[in-house]
Amino acid sequence: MKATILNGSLSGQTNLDSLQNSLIIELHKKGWETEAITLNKMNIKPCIGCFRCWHSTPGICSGIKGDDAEEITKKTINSQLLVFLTPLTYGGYSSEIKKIYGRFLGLLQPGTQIIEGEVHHLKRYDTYPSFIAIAMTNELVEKEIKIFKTLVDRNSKNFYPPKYFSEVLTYSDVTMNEKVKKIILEVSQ
Amino acid sequence: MTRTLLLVGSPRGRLSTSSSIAQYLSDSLKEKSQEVEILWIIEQLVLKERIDEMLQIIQKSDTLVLVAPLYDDCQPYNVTKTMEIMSRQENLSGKRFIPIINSGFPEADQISHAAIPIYKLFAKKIGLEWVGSLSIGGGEGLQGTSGKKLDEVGGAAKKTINELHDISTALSKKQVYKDAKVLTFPKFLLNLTLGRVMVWMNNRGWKMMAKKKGVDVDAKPYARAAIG
Repeated sequence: MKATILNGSLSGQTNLDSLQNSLIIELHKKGWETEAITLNKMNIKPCIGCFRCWHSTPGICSGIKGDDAEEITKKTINSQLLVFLTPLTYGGYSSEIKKIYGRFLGLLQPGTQIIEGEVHHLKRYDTYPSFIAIAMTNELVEKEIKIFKTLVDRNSKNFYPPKYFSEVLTYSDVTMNEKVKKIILEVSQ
Repeated sequence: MTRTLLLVGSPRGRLSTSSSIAQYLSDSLKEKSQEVEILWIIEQLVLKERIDEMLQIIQKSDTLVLVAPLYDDCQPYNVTKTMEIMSRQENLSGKRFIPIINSGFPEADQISHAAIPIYKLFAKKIGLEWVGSLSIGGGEGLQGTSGKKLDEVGGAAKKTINELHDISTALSKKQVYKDAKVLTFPKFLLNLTLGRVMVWMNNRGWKMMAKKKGVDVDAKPYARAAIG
């Protein structure tokens, strides 16, 4: 089983590193093969909203060429687990996560279906990776945690993960390893 | 008179639904003798000088209107980047802020679940005054990518136009607008049977578009078998 970890720390910041290391240790213990990618060190351009990945080269972004996004997208869809690590940004993801996430559009088919009374895009692939999103922040604020969990829940409705988990931790959380261990245990079952 | 800055956050730039909404609101504000400027964020983020220019214009403005699409249930990259940049600025406190967000999905609720709370928290944390929001479901119905102006679209744009007039009035009188939601088509089309018909027509449209280009809309180019 393969896990792709996308580290969305901003350029010059290393404060997600300990979380990433903890994840890798726990994933290895459960037999996962891991690859961690620090997004700010990659050449990734943002989605330009051209929809070519839907109508001209289905599944492939041909609006932007020559960056690292295609390789990361291939790795993601061929993983059994996708992990987003992000500084909590007003209850959401960092710009680094948003940059690659936008480029995942072609992983879905443009057609739609109604799920629980809401319109969502169709699956392009038969299987999608399970999804863990962990945000880190200086201070836990209940409202912000709720927004993040809602966002991950909403994302899961569009990206069809078999299992998904969200967590918000402080940079000083001494129980971080235990929390990570619990999530990895659950996602590995 | 107040200075209003309309920040267009669509990755599609000037040929986008967000842009056509911003243009309409700009005209409406100008009719009320307001000073208005539009900036397209993707044009500003390309160079440090342009980012600095955007920040200077933000500093000079009394009211900030963000017009952007919904991407993955929240903001597109360029808007998130701008929020990160703005969070490092001082003296933004007290500026009025209103996001106008459109989604390709028909339900405006898909915007209000996470995106609007994110913008609200952003405003609170950097000291902006929240004066309301507008969530537009079925934004593709406004045909922004066709280059049409909102008042050339017809019935689909009617509710949005009405709300933009209300926003324009509220902003020009320094009043609070509200947190509103509009759909670009009649609500009864969202019922189960008609909703399924709409979905079927949408799916058929995408298939036909791909077929015309000689491609398969269901292609799985990154499936393990396909990449070997």
